[in-house]
Amino acid sequence: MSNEIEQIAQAIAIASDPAQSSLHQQALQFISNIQQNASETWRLALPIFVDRDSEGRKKYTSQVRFFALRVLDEFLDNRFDPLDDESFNTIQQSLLTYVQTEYVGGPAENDAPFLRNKFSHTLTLFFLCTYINQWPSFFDDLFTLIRTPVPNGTTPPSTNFNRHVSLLFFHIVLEISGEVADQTIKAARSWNITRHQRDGRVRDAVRERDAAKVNEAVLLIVAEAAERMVELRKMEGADVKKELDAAVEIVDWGIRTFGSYVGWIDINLTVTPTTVNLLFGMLADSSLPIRLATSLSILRIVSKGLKEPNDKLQLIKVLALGQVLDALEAKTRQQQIERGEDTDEGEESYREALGRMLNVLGVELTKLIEEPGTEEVRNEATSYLEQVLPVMLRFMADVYDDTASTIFPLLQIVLSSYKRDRRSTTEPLSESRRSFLTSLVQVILAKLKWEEGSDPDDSDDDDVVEFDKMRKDLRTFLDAALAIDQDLVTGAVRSLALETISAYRQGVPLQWNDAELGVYLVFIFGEINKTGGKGRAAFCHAPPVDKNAKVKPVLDYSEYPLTSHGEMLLALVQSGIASYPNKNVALQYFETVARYTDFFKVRKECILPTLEAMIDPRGLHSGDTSYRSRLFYLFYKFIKENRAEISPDLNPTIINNMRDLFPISLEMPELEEGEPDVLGEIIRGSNFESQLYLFETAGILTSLTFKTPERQASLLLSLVKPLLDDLSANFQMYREKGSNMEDLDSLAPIVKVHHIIMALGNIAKGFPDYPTVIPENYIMPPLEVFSEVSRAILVCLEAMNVFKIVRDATRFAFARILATAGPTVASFIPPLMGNLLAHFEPSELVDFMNFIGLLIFRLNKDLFDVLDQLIGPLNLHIRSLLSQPISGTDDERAHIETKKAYLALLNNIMAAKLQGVFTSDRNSANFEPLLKSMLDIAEDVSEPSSQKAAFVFFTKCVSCWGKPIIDNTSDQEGLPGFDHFIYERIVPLAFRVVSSPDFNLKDGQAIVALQEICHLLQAILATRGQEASNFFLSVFFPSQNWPPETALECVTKMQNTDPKVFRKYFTDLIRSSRRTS
Amino acid sequence: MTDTNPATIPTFKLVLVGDGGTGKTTFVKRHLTGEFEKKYIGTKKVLSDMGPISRPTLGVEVHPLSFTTNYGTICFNVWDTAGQEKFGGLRDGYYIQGQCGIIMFDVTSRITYKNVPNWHRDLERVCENIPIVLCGNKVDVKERKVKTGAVTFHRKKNLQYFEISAKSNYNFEKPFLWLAKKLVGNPELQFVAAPALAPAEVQVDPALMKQYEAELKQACLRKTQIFLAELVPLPEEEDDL
Repeated sequence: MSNEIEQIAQAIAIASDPAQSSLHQQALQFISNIQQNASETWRLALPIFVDRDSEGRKKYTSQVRFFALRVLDEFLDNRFDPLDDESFNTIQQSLLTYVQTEYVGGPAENDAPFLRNKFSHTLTLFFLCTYINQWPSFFDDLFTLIRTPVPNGTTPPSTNFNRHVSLLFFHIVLEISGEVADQTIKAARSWNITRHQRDGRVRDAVRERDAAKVNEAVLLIVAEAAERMVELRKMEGADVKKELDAAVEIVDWGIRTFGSYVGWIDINLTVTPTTVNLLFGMLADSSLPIRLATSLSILRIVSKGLKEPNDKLQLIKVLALGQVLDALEAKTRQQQIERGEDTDEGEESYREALGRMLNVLGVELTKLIEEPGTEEVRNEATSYLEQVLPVMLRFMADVYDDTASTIFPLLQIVLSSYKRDRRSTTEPLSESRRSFLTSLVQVILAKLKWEEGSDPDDSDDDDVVEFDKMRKDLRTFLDAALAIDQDLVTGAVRSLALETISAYRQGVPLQWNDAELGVYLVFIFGEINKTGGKGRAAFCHAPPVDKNAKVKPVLDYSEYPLTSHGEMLLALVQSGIASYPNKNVALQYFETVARYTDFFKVRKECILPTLEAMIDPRGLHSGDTSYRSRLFYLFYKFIKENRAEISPDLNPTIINNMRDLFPISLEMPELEEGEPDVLGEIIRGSNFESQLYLFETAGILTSLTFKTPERQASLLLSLVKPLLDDLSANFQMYREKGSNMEDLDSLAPIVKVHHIIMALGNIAKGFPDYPTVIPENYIMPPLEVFSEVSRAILVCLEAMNVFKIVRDATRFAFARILATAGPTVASFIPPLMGNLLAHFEPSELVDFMNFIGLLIFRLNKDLFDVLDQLIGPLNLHIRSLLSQPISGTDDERAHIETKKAYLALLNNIMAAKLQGVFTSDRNSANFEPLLKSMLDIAEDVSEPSSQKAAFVFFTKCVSCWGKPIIDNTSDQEGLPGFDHFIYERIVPLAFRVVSSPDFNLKDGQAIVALQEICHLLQAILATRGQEASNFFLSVFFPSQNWPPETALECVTKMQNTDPKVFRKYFTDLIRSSRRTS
Repeated sequence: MTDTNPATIPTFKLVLVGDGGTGKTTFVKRHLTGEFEKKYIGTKKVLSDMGPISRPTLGVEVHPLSFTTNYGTICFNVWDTAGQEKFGGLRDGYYIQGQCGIIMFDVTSRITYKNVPNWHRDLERVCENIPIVLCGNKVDVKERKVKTGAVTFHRKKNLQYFEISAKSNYNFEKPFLWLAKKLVGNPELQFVAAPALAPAEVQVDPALMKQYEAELKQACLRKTQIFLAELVPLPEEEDDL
């Protein structure tokens, strides 16, 4: 045996050595074997852990002994049969002797403290196996050891308890609570009924036999150490410090231990005058860990589930926690003020713990108020809660958001109960609630403000996100308060906003964060003010306009008085606060005007000053890049929504003032070496995207001059010409120098070409869509300019189609130009397709198919020839992609996306009545394989959404190709033989799917697929008529062994009912047939 | 602390734990110098059935990961432990003398989050009172199963939580920075130079990440309620099932 032990010791030494060794693998293998055979090898592990040499030193290293404990754990953990007597006695004796030597009289593993915790767990596992039947005196034996005096007398005589054994005892109780009563740990274990029942039996046994003794021991040990702590704190000296630390450690762990079992043992043991005194004393102790441990214990007591509401109320009364927290809140707030800049995370975490306790106390009180109980209990709880609420607001006002947010759950409950009460009464709000709301709104307004010292630009991104989130939370409370007393809240918000704005206007000195808050309140007012109207009505009291009226009256809105929000916006614009020398304030201003564009429709005189501020250095021409980027978007939004209000004469001026912002500059980011997608990375790393808004805005402004076509054309040219020149220059540069992925300079022209094509597309985007039906007197935009742009882009694409970014940009730009110029540019589509498909990456496939879908939508029949040529190669691409093996979640998603886009495209083709491309001379050979692959997709129940799309396809097929053939007619949709396909393939497939056991009717997507099948069946009946019902009645349903009456009913419903009714009928039918089968 | 002599650089043992397949090894390997200098513990053999991309860690691998801070260089010896039971080696034996920890789970796999309390308990037992970060990995994957709001364990145990994507380097430094601040005891500590990271293999969607961050904050509103729910013991009757 000793030989084997030596081997284990060696293996552990090798396995623990961070340096590589040739025996390593072997050692790991050996260890793993030992571990797996714990039912035998525990006999080796036990002596490894406890044995000592002749001089009384431990025989093995702590690493090896640690492993020995693991083997014992393996042996004991989840063992539900009793140990045989011999094993039990051996282990019990060894461990008790070990505790006697190592803890009672020894150093308690002080050179390897990790062994202490590990051992307490091992002992706990042994306890779990043996306490009920074999070792009922477990705790008594432990208590005897705790009271054993230390032989050498190192412990001061004032102590009645052995320090090491006390700590061991605490750890064991903590571990026991963790094993048998901790819900988090329980949830992390896989469920096991035997284990569950065993844990229940252990809890019962402890409660019956030892709970009182355990609790008493814990309290006595803590009390004694606490007393010693008090005395030692009066003394000085190095030894004193050490002893004090030791006493603090005992109290800390003792209270943690107490907290671990309050949830599962009788509350009459844990809540007594003694414990309440002790806990409240410790709650204000000078040691932070003790205070935190105490908070948690009290929290658990307060939240302990009690059956009788009255018991709960008594508990709360006995604890009198409300007053205690009131006092401690005041005290810690004072300390926080005194600390000033000198922050102390620990102390703040204590305040957070206090807040959390207050929250739990309040939540428990609200439960008593809302749950059924006696009137008396409710009244008393209500009056307690009223005492708690002011303290809650004080916590909420804490500058630390972690502390402030501890009471959010309570606040939420209180506000919703107030809200409920308001709905059920017409009485005015009580004075006490009114004053609570007033204070609450003041706290919220104060918390909504940025900290003065902080600067959002300098702050960590996380802090900004955090603050934004805080503002959102506060806003929900503001909303709730508003629902209780609207005038109170809007009044407070409005007056703070107006006061701030007018202070600025009058030149009163104003901190940036106050100014920002003032503007921010105007910004959120539209959201909090729920009763405000929509559109213009939100800002002025104009008579309602009948939306259905044929001729709408033209109102001069400037005649009507403004709403509160309108007034705030007017004051805001007039104050000129956009000039505040802090860009957070200015930015908030621009966010606000861009959000409430309808205001400018009722006070048009405000447009010009706002536009000025937006364009000058306060806005678009600011020196700050990221600020400017945001302004590009806000400006775009402002122009887009107010375009009808801006005089077309002004537009060229606005454009002229933007011109210096049009030139496209390149930023080359720093790239990692070996970056696989250099060009893509450059695009993603650039700030260029925001600039695109400028081009779109310029497009919008140009389109507004449509009444003077010549002027419009020259304005458009003035935008497009510099871009085309730049495009041509870069194109030439690329042709001369070529490209090299290692050389960033050589890539600049390619990136530039991408940017310019995107810019051109965005200019087109600013124009309205080409009308489907051209109205009378419609003035066309300068289409020839767009043709020229298309041609230039195509030239570049042709030479640069190897670059994905150029293909991407071209697809984007063409989609936009096509929307604007319609059939004018249709002739460019075939060469465009040719070049887009010349080089192709699988990742583009989805975008490409969506693009084709768009073309189909825009060009319809004009796309037939292109599509006819395209559909064959496209099918090939897709089939080869979909037939590749899937190796991971990324591939799987790519597959699904591709399939989805492909099916959508096929359905788009069918919907546009372009189905001729499938049966044309060019493609007819692929027609049957296509149908076959659609049948496969429709049959695949594992992907109900694709399945549904395939059925949509078949429905559409039936409606065109299924049409009866009329002899001697040339232009007909019906396809000879398709009726056979319907009856022999489609119908049996549909019924196979719905009766498949894998077709999950609880899955929403499968239901959608089922509904599509209904649609298909009705389409078959509608298209084929009597022939189809004959087929169902005399061929198909009999072959499926349907009872004739069911078959008849089904066919009748299929034929005559509204789709909705049939869907319901058929779904129920399928459901019930699956139940019976 | 400005010294760059390896012998005097403050070095901390970091224990990296979590279920198998959560991406612990991928995560440490993003740091290129650490990858370059790593020392193997545990012999490696390529397992034919796992393919070349990701094979389980055997026992442990130790990677020294250095970061440049405004106070000088700091080094974490990251003990990347095996997540899979059968390759566990010494398991919690590797935690001994750990000074800080990262517990990793995979947001696309609920079971890996469910197991977090087990990893935490084992780690706490061996290394009392060390700073620990909980990391939810693979947030680049859109089909995530563990939603941000559902991650509450860190609230109960005062851990720091970060959402990361090892494949895209998203938030790679955050856990290390937080641990460094705690270990050095200085909240002003910052990383001043970005470590060399392997190029991102996937891109995270910034809008999606913003949404996750927002959800994370939303979750704090519920934290006390959840905290409460966990504390209230089950009714007594349940014991006699």
